Amino acid sequence: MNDFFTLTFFTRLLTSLLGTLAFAVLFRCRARHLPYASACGLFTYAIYYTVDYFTGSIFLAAFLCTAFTTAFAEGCARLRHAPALVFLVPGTIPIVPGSDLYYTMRYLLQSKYESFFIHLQNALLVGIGIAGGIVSVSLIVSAWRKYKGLHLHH
Amino acid sequence: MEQSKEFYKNNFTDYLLCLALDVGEGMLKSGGEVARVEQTIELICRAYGAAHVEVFSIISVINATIRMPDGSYSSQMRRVKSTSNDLYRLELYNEISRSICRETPALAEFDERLHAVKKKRAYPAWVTIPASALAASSFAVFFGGGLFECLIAVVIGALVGVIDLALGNHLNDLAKIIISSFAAGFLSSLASVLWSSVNSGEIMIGTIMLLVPGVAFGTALRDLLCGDLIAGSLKTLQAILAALMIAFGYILSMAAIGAV
Repeated sequence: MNDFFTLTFFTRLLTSLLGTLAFAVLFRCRARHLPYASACGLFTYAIYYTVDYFTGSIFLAAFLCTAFTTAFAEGCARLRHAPALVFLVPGTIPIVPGSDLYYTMRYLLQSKYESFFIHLQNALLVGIGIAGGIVSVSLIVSAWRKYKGLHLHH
Repeated sequence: MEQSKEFYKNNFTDYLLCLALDVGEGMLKSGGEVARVEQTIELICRAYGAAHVEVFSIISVINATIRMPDGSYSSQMRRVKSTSNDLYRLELYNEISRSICRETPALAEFDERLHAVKKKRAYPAWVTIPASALAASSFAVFFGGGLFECLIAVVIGALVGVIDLALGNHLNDLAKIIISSFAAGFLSSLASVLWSSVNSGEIMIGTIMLLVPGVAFGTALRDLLCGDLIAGSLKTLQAILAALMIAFGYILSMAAIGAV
């Protein structure tokens, strides 16, 4: 556990919060939802890090944390009377595989094919994990909505 | 647009569908899901007594037909040319559709409420610049950058914000991505050439986060798997193209740095 609470972890928690806040403003998220949207980003990263730490699988980490984020966003949507997208779109930002995409391009240019494939694989795994997390929870939520006869805007 | 509305006001069915499409168009333009757009238009028309509502929407077109109990009929198409993320407007349109369905006010009042939303903004346009700067610098640090990388990312992030504002709707989104990605790649490499301790990678990653369609890819796959096959494939294609354009701009900047 000693290497769980590292300085990097805390730096990343703080920057994921700030980064999500900035993205929420870029996406024109209403000021009164900003704390929830930013918290969503913070939790997303905290779960991603924890699952990655204990299982070593970035796919599983991305999948589980996005599933949580989607559920959290649906919860916020209900509480705050706003579409779930308002929280989901900024909330998933911290685990978007921007760095893997960068290294994929860079190693391709440098003809380091082994590293290129590793980062491409990581980017795809995380991308599919994110999509899987959103889809699985969305399907459950929409099934529940149908069962209750609720519409998207209620 | 205003003229055509004057004409519509004499025909309840046409006017109703026109207003419902306005709401749908607003949602689509603010980044709403296709399912939400289709459902909203249907609910609004049904709230005003439509017996039959058929709506089909993809990301760039909404097609809708309604038939009232008295047999009057309206069929309209709406072309939506650009979409972006404006969560504030999306929320407002959602609120409007909820209140309209509950209260079913006279169409003229519905029209007025819609008109008021079109003028509303969550923030002034310039917040894009500090927000981009904060986003790029946060993620530069998130991915391992130090203070120096953070400061340069502030500058480049702000620049990407300025590019976004200055080009506005004049240029297509993919071209904007190429220009931003090129500028970010060029400046971050230039910084690492000038100060050898600077890691251009971390700065570049911070900026890539601003451009990368990560969430769009996730929601595109969701649309696809939830049965909106056409809208989902179009969105997936959009996301893949955006990623390719980031790579194109970056490679172009590397070529330029190599040539300098």
